[in-house]
Amino acid sequence: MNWTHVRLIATSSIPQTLRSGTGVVYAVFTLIFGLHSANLIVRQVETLGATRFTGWVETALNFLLASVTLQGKTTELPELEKFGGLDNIHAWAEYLLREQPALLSAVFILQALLVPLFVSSGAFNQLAGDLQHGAVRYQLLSTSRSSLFFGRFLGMAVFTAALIVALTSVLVLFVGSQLDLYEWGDLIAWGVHCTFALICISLPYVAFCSWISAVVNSPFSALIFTGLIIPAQPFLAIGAMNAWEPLGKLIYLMPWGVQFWLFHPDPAKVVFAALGCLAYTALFLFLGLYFFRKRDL
Amino acid sequence: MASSDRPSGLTALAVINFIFGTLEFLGGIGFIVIRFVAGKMLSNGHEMSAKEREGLQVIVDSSWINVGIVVALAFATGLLLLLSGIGYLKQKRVLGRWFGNGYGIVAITYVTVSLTLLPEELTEGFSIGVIRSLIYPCFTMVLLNSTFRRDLAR
Repeated sequence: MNWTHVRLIATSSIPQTLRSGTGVVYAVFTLIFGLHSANLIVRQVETLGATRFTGWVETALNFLLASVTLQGKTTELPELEKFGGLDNIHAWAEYLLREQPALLSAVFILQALLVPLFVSSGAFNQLAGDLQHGAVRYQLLSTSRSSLFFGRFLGMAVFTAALIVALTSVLVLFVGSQLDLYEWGDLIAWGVHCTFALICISLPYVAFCSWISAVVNSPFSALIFTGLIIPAQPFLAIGAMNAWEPLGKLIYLMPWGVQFWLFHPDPAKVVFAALGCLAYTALFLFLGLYFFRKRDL
Repeated sequence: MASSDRPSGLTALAVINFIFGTLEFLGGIGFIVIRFVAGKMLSNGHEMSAKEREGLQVIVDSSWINVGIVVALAFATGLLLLLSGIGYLKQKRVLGRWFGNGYGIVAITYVTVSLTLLPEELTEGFSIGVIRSLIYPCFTMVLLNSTFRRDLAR
């Protein structure tokens, strides 16, 4: 693999992404729906008031965090809660809502749920389109398969990171300048942390899209695969856990079970989660490259 | 230039324009309907809380001229979106690039004017929703004047 080629391919793939329909839709979809979902949460603060809003978000967060960290069957969670089995989750939610700016925490946890969906709808066409039209064969006259694969991944990862930074910057600036609820220092510190977390979350999904895109011959099929597998996987795992508890571990087939630890109060767990996301990225890239090298073009 | 020379990004932009253009028209009609229905509800003496009545009264007190200006801007925005969408598909300099930039300017004006002229009960005031509605015009202008500048030259 030639790193100069990787850099050149990554750099040229960003404007190429924008010229392609998927890049335009990805950017518009991510920014508009990201802001729309944030707006729904901010509206809840105005409708419910700060105290009721915090209570409402706390209930939702407890359920979400308990489900993705496999504390128990979803049907048994209320009982677990009654006997103090979810105290660690309560402490986590308390940290997000009392020690950090609650509104930003709520918005960014929602974005953590949405980022994989945005990625699945925007990053699916890294190689599939070129494979369909046979353009890859011409590109491989001047570079290697691994350079092309990593270059496209890197370009898409940087494009996705830029979208996330744009989205989180707008949100932090809006909450800081319009709502007058939190100190600027707290907002910026938590905003930077959450931006880093969202970028970490996006990487394995971009890598997963690279893998699918490298093995499927049509962008539409790649979209169907990524658009179905990524959002459906946690529901399937949690549903399967309700039938037989060990099946809940299926959630670790993708980063869903790891990614929310990036918002944990314990820095060691945050680092562990970030490393987990990078490990998933490496695994998906390895699988993608393996199949891309083996495939008949 | 053959139609196959058109970057797929322009096609996507055109499709988004058609969707948003239709929504702008519906939004404009929505302003008229809300203003009209609010008046009817107050005059018919519907049962409602004092807060709801106050909100409706503010909407009814907004002048028809202000509503008319905002609705005209909404329709202009919608029309420019549809026309520039056709321009993108045909890769026309005037219909595509100029009308697309025109849309950007009119859309930003529309958001600013509606925030200034209409009561918060109708526009929700300055919110993330307002920033969201500024994203697409700004994004369009950036793309038309950089990425797709040379593609709209017919």
